[in-house]
Amino acid sequence: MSPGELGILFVTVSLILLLSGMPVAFALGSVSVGFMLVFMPAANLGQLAQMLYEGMDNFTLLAIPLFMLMGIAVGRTRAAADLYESVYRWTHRLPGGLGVANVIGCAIFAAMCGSSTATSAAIGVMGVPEMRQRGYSPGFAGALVASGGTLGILFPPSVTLILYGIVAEQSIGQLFLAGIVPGLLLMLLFAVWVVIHSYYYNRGQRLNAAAPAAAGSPGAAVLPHGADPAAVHFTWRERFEALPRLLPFFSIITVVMLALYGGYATPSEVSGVGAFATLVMVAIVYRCYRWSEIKKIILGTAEYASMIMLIIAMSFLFSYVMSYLYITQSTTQWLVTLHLSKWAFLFWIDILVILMGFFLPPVAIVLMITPVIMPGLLAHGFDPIWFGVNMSLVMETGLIHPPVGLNLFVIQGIAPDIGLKELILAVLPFLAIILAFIVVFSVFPSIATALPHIFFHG
Amino acid sequence: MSGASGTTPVATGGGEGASAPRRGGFPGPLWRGFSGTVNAINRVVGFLAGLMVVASCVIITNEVFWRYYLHRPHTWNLEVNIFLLVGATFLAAGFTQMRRAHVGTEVLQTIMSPRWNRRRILAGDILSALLCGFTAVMVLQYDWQAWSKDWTTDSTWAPPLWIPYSLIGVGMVLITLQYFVQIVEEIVLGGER
Repeated sequence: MSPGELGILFVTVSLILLLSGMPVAFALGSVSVGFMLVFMPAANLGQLAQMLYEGMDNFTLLAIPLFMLMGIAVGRTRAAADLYESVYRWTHRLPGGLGVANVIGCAIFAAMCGSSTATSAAIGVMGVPEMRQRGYSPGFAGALVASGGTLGILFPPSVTLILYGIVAEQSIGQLFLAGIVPGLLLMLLFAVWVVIHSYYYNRGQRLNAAAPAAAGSPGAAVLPHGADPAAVHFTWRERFEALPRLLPFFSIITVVMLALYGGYATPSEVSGVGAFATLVMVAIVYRCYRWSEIKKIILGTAEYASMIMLIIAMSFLFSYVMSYLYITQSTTQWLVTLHLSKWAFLFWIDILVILMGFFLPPVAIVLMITPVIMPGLLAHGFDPIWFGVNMSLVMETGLIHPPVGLNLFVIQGIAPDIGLKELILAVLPFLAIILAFIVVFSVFPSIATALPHIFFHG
Repeated sequence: MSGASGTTPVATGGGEGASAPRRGGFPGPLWRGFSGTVNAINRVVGFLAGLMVVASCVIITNEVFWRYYLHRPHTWNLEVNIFLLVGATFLAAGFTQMRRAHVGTEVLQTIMSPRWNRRRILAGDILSALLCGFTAVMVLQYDWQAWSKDWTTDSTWAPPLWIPYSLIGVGMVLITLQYFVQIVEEIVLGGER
């Protein structure tokens, strides 16, 4: 069989197993071991242990479970509630102020844990019921937190950026910096959409309420988003009193950033120090030191770390087999022979990532396609740091795009009565914002590259 | 956790241990004892795996302090942490499977009937169990070589390589056992749960 035919067979079998619903890690592992058995010398199977160990023998990978420990420890406390409440006191006068507080809360929480699902879950538990109680439509409330949660893979310490850095051999410190400005801009765009939506939604609600009221019907029971400023008021003193609650968050983020960019520690070391500081904060500030609470944090970390790291371990096996059978190289050569223009190449890569996002988690996407597309990207003159952020942005859509998208399921877990259709309809504008931002981001790559350039190149 | 897109933890029957329904005397005391033991071991080992992540964060923090403030780096730091990472990943695999938390694509779930969904998931479980069992055998064979030939890493500290290989091998044995319990219970009790 030629490498091309082998490649088609490899991709077909992989797709069948992935779509069958078996765990992603074992689907990738089964394809790899199956192809080793059939198409590779038997000696390779004897080296299975070595391959798995060598894939994991990377100190940078350690950052992933450690940042997860950080996120899970914070997620088990009332820290997210404090964060959310403090931000709301400052945004409550805006139309949709509560929604804006949720978006900002998601962004700050994302900077603590690097995970989209953890961010959606932590903020959503308080945010979604609270917004619904204040008259936000259930679909919009859920979609807002699901979309805000996607910022988790853009802000440092993004797990996908760490993995991309490892596979593409790029500086993780630079990738983290490159994700900050796009993350902030996207947060701002989400917040603007929340304000606009709330303004028009409230106007519609008032008009609807006025009609039955005129007819003598008690129809104005729903409290519109715009009622936020009127119904709730915080004095300046109350606003400033809430600020110390943000202190633990900013202390940890500051410790992490100082250690990383002050040259004191590598990303993995930073994750260790950050996790340690978070555990201390959680114990002292949030008094989370009971056995039951500690057990939940430790078991939660084991579960999530094993789930993600097994996918990574098996992805290394998958990449090894692809490379051994010359599939990676022949695919790369095929991409070059297409003679696509720079932007057509990027367009099709982005489409491929979006399609893969239908059925694969971001960690697997990064590990599977980065080695294949990297030579083509470099040949077309794309900045690999910029592309890392671009890929994270594109993968963000996968977390919320219909028909599947894990953040949507997270929200359904929090509020099972919100219909998936309602949620999907409400998420579409957020999806459009991300896609439009990707276009702008592609035209102006300095949105991502300016900050690392200033820090690393003066 | 870290953004798994378009995927959900594979949810189906066959959770923790044998459940209430009985079929032809199943689950009997012997099976209940076996499945209960597998679940208990995976829970304890899963906890140990979580502790490995915590231990790693303490060791790294200690190392950063020693290196930047006392200027005395340790030679063992890097490899101990790699071994802890390997341990945390593979030892918790069985526990994660016990909770059905390994993510899979559930695109077909909404299209297929509950009966065919159960069959689909069972087929995935069997294939996963075969992979894990096969990997366990291959890894433990290699581990035996590493033990008997005193293989070590290339570093100056040179710890023995049987440690990480054993962690991978034991982890794969535990997840294979967990799959075995879940597959048997699904086959015997599946439709009744």
